[in-house]
Amino acid sequence: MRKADLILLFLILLLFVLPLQINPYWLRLLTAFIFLSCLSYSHNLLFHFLGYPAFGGVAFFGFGAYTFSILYNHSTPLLLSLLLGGVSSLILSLLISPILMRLKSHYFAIATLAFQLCLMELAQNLEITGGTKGIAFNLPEYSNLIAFYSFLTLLLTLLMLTLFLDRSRLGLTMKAIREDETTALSVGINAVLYRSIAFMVMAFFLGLTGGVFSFWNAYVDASTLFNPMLSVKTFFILTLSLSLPTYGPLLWSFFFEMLFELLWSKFLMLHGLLLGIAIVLLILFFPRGVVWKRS
Amino acid sequence: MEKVLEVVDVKKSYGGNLVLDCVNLSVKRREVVGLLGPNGSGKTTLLNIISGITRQDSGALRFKGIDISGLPPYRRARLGIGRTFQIPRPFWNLTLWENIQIACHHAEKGAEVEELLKRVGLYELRSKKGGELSLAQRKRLELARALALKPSLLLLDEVFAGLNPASIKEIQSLLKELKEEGISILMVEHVLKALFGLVDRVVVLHGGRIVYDGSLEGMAQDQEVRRAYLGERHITFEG
Repeated sequence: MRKADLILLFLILLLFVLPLQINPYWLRLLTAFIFLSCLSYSHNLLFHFLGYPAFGGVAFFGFGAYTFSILYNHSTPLLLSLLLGGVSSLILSLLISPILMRLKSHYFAIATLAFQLCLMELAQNLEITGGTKGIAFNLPEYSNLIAFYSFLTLLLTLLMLTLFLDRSRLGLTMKAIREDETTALSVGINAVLYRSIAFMVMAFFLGLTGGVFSFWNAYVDASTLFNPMLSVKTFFILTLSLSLPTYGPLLWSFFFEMLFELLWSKFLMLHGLLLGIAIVLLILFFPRGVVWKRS
Repeated sequence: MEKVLEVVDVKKSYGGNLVLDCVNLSVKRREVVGLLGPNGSGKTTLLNIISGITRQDSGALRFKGIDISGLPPYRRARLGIGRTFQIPRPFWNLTLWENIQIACHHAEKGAEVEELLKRVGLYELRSKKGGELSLAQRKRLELARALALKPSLLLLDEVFAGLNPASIKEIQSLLKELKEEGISILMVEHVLKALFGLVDRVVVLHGGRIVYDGSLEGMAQDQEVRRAYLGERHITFEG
């Protein structure tokens, strides 16, 4: 294990005890940061390792969130509901991957975005999803803490998976596909299989994240779950993490959440505008992030 | 001698443009065959069809007696068909070591990365990234990567193009060694002099058809080859 990994592990372990020392405001802020990290790391499995930008990956987040909400509202135990949220997204990705996995680069990005909008439209019109009214549910005691620890566990799992992939032969194979798929095929790599598996793993984690998000929010509706702003935030973070794909999503999620909070609390009427300007400037001046790898 | 590769009546067209028209070709074990022809005659398309990157419209392909016509490229690679590309395609952001390791890991019979890098003279550069190499080094890397598959058949697409005489000589020697080891080679090439003493025979494609199949020396005497590829002015080969 590298020194940076140990520091990171220490920081995450610190996060496990932090909720006992902070007030509800900071707990909410910290949870928002970890939630955004989970979204980013899930997308990063496909984006960093295979070079596929799933701009509409939020579709699986929303689908998992609805599955969780419906099951949990029908008295299914919390953990089982969360797990089934992830599994349902995985199954959905399995069904859609024969179509989406035929596409590459921006075609793939646009197709996933269209898929997200289709699901949003469906969710707004179906009875089972509560239509435009959405689904609300009663939460148990300590729900904020449960959501925090669930997100944190998810984050830890995603981080370990990312570190494993970054240093394993499996990850190397995925990077080879990202570099040049034709060449990868010519050296015996079954690119479609790897892409499909990564797509499904991403969908599974997004589904789980969606489930925890619903629980944390106590209410879900289509415009919240399939909000394109979630994709914008995620890909802003992933773009700035390009030169540091293992730790970058964590660092930039923290930065983004703090920036958002600062702008929102100090400039209530202008925070959207200022955030937009900040995003444009950051992408303009640091197109591959601010942490550069030594060559 | 045992046939390693058989191409039977292969046809390929793009839109209305017929690129390969009933091509029949075979490569025996330990045989080096030069695939020649003017630009656009279908040479690279044929290599792509054999390696599975492009699918033929009709016809069959057999590798060591196995019908591989419908197999995806990665399955053909695992069976032992290695290839290089006309414009080298290293994994740009992976190190040389990783470039070879990828192929060793996925071939059914892996080879040692170190041994391969030493063999092509790139061991000292093993920590460099694929994108940092010169053209000649990239070509060597591609060759090593193809060898990592422990291939029975090597498909080489203009491996001598753009190389200086010293590099050409080194690669010639390596290819001769590979031939001695029992590897068959089908190579597309325009640097005809580099083929001298290396190939057992040449096949000339023109307009998607094979117009010549014979010795390199005899090719210059063939009227159709001269008209289609070499030009009307007399060409001689010096050993």
